[in-house]
Amino acid sequence: MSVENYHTLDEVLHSRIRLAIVSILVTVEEIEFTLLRDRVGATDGNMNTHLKKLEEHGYVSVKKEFVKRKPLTTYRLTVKGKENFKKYVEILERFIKRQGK
Amino acid sequence: MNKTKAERDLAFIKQVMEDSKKLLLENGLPYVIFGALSIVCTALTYGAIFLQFYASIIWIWVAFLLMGTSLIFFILRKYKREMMGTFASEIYGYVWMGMTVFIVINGACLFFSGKFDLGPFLAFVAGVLGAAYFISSTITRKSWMFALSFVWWAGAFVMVSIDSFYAPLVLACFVLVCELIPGVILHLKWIKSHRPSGKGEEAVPQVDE
Repeated sequence: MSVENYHTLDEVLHSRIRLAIVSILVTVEEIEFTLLRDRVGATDGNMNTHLKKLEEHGYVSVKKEFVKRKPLTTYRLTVKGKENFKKYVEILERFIKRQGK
Repeated sequence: MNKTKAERDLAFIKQVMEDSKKLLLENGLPYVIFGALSIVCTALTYGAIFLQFYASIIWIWVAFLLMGTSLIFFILRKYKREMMGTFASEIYGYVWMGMTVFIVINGACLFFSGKFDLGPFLAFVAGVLGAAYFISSTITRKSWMFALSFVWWAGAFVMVSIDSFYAPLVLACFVLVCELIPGVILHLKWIKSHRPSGKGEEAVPQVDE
């Protein structure tokens, strides 16, 4: 991949943790924070930082509520998040294909 | 970025998606509970017929419905955290709920109008279960469920064409094949995918950031 093409890769998704978060979210409708954290295997702080970045860029939406007096935070992927994830995967696939020739 | 890095990233995405899909596996317990309970109730029904306690038969099945639905309610609550809510799973739940209510209302109407005949009623139950499996197979994209819907419909024809006395026995056989055994298989798969030491629980391979 040329330097120019490298820059076409989504900066928000070009991070292992954020990519893992979005890859999980793309397979489910919504997921609660603790379960997402356990699946990704990151710390609370680390997760919060990356989720905040995804949220700021409009890739995920967050819902905060109280269930039986306990806070419950759930995340879901937005349409923008889904589209950009798809584009990211397509770029990777195209690049691999081109390199294989 | 080079080709190896791109391939690694793509493999990483695929593995994460594959692992998280395991969370969507059904745990199979509703099938096991309803399957086992209905077989026990069939045995009790024959016991009641043998002892000529005909009036108790309806109460055996009322108890079956109450026990089955309460057990499933408590079990699903227990596993709620591990079973992610998706729109598809919500529809799936409503299909089963709707079908159960449909069977109960029909059974109650026939019973209270004095037109209840066990054989045709169980054939009707098998037909409705076939429809539920058929719709569920479309939602869950499970080919075995699709195939079992036809087995249920074949069972409905069998039950309507035999003596009502044998209908519960035939239903129990169909429940064993179409519900209990698949339920046990689903549950074993579910346990395997959720085992902490197993591969399924590792979820994200090496998040190195």
